[in-house]
Amino acid sequence: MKRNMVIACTLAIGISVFGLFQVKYKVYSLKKDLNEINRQLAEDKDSIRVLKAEWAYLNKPDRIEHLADKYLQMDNVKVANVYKSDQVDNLYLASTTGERENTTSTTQPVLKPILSSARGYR
Amino acid sequence: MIHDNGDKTYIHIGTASSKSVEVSHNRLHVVIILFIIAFLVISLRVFDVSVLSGENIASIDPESDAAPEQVTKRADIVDRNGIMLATSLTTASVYANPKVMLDKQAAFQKLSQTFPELDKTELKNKLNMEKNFVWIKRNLTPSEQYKVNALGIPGIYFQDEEKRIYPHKNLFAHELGFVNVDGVGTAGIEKQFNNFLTHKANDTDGSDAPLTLSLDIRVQNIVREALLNSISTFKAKGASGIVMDVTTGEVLAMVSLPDFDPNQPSSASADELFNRTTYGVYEMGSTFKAFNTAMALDSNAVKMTDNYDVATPIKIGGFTIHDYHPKAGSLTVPEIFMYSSNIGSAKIALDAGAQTQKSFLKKLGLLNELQIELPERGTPLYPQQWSKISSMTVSYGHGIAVTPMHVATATSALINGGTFYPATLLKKEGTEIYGEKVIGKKTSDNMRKLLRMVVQYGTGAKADVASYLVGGKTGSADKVVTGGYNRHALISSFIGAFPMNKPKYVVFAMVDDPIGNKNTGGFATGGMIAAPVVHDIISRIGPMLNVSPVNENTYEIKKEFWYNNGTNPDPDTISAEDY
Repeated sequence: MKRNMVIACTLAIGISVFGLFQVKYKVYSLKKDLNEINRQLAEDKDSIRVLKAEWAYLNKPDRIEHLADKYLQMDNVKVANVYKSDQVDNLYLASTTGERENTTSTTQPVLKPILSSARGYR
Repeated sequence: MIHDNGDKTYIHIGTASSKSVEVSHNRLHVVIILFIIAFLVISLRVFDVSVLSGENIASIDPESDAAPEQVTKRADIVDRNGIMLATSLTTASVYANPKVMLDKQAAFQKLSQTFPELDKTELKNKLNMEKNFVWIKRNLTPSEQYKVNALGIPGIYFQDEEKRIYPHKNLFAHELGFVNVDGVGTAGIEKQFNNFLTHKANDTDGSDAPLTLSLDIRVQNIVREALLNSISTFKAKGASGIVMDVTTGEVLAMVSLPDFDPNQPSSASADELFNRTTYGVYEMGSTFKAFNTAMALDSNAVKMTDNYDVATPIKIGGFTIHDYHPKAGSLTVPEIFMYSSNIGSAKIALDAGAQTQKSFLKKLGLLNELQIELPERGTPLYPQQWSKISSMTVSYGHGIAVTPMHVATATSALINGGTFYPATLLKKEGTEIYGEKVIGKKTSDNMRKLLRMVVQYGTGAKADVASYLVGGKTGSADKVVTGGYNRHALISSFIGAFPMNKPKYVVFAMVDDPIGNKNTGGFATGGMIAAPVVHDIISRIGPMLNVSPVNENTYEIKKEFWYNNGTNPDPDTISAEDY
C-alpha cells in the first residue's frame, strides 16, 4: 500500500515535471512564432505605407491631368453636361415609347440626339 | 520485527535482519535505476540539443528577438475623400561611434565619396570627436543605406527613424505645414494637431485612423492652377484663394501663393512660407461694402429703396472720398453696391452710426483673431478710435485690414440665412455643427440679391458662369506701404458665391499687385483680375461638387433677382409662355 503510494507519487512527479517541461518549450516556440509574425506584420505595414505614399504620389492631380490629356479624348465636365436624374428619366422614356412601334429589334434607345437639345431653355 | 499474533508475541532475530537488508537493497536498486534513467534522459537531451537540433534551441529565448518597436508613430492626414496628404515612412539614419573606429582617415574618405553633398570639414570634425555618437546623415534612401553597408566601416551604425512625406508637394504646403527633423510639427496642421497625430497612432485600440480634413484635393488643385495662371498672366507678386462650404464653414480649398515644398521646408524663402490666406492681413477695399450694406439693412438704418446723392466727393478732415466710377445724381442702395460707390457707402455708414458698424463687424468676426485650426492666424488691424472718419473709410474697406479667410467666413454668414460658422479645416460630416445667428433672414435674402446684381449688371460680370447664378463683390485696394498707400500697386480681390438662389459655396480670390495688360485695358482691378479667376474656379468645381445647374429663365429666378434699371423687362410683364 505504502509502496504503491510512493510509486504513484514518483510517477506523478515525473509526469508533471516532464509535462511542465514540454509546455514551457511549447510556449517558447509559440512565442517565437508570434514574434516572427509580429515582425512580419510590422514589415508589411511599412511596405503598405510606402506603397500608399507612392500611390498618392502617382495620383498627383497635375500628373493625372497630364496623362488624361495625353491618352483620353475627354474634356473637363462643363455645366452644360450636367443633367438632373429626373430630366434624364423623362427623356429616356420619351425616346423609347416613340421608337418601340417602328423597331422590331430590342436595341438600346439612343439618348444622344435627344439629350443635346434637352435643356429646353429658350 | 515484532509480530503481534493474538495473545502471543514472537520476536524474530537474524532472519528478520537479513530480510530488511534485502528490502533496502531492492530500494537501492530502484533508486539507482531511476537515477540511471534520469541521467540517460538528460544525456540524450544534451545530445539532441548539442548535435541534432542545436540551432533551433540556441535562439529560443523569446526576449532576445521581441518584435521591433514600431518606429512609425505619427498618424496620416487625408483629405475629405480619403486621399493621402501626409504620411510617415520608416527610413534609416546613419551614425558613427568614433571611439570604436579603427581607421578614421579611411572612413572619412569612403563616407565623403558616398555622400558628396556632406560638408567635408564638418564630417571630418565629427569623426574626430571624442564621442560615442555622431549623426552622419539622417533619413537615407534605401540605395544609400545599401551603399553604406557595402563600405563595411566598423563603428558605423544605422538607426530607424521616421520621415514625414508629403506626396503632393506644394499643393497643401500652407495647410499641412511641416515637421522638423525630429518629427515635431512646426507649422500648419502638423503643429496644431501635433499631440493628436502622435497619440492617435499609438492608440491601443488598433485604429490607424488618419486625421480627415475638410479639404478636397481636386478643388485645391483647381484653385491653385487658376491662381498660378493669373499670377503668370498679370505678373503678380502673390495670390490667395479659398473655397468654403457656406452651410458648415468647411474649407474645401485654401491656397496661398507663392508656396513651398513641405518635404524641404528649409529651402523655402520667408515669402513662400508666409500664409497669405489665414495669416496675412490686407485692406480688402470694396468687398467690405457687402458687410457695410448688410449692416445698414440689418440695423434697419436704411431700406433697399433709399437714395443717396453721390455726385460730389465728400470732404472731411482734410481727406476726400471720391468714386472710382463717378455717377451723376443719386443712386439707390442696390446701385451704390453694384457700381461700388465709395461716397454712397460712406453715407450709408454714417446713417447707421459708427458704433452699430463696429459691433456688426465684431459679430461677423472681422475684428477678432481668425478662428481656424492653424497656428498661423491673423489678427485684424483697425482704428482704435472708431471715429466718424474711420467709420466712413471702413465702409469701403480702407483703414481696416483682415485676412482673406475672415472675408470668406463673414460672407458665408451673410448669404446662408444669417448663421456664422467659424472656418474649419476638419471634415464636419456627421457631426453637429454649432453656428451663431448673426443677421436676420431678410437681410440675408437681400444680400443674395445684391451680390447677384453685382455680377449680373455691375462690376463683377466677368465672374459669371451660365446656369450657376454666381454672385459676388469686387474689391481693389491700394497696397499699403510704409507710411501710406502705393497708388500704383493694388490688391485685387473678388468674393463670389454660387448658386445665389440657394448658396452652397463661397469662392474667394485675391491677387497681389497684378499688372494690367491689353486684355484688361490696362486695368488691374478686382473685376478685371480676380473675377475671371473666380469664374474659372466655379465653372470647374461646380459640376465636380454636384451643384445642380439652375435654369435662369424661369419666372421665379427672374423675379427674385430682377432689378429695374430702366431696360430690364419686369418679369411680371412677361407672359408665362415666354418662359
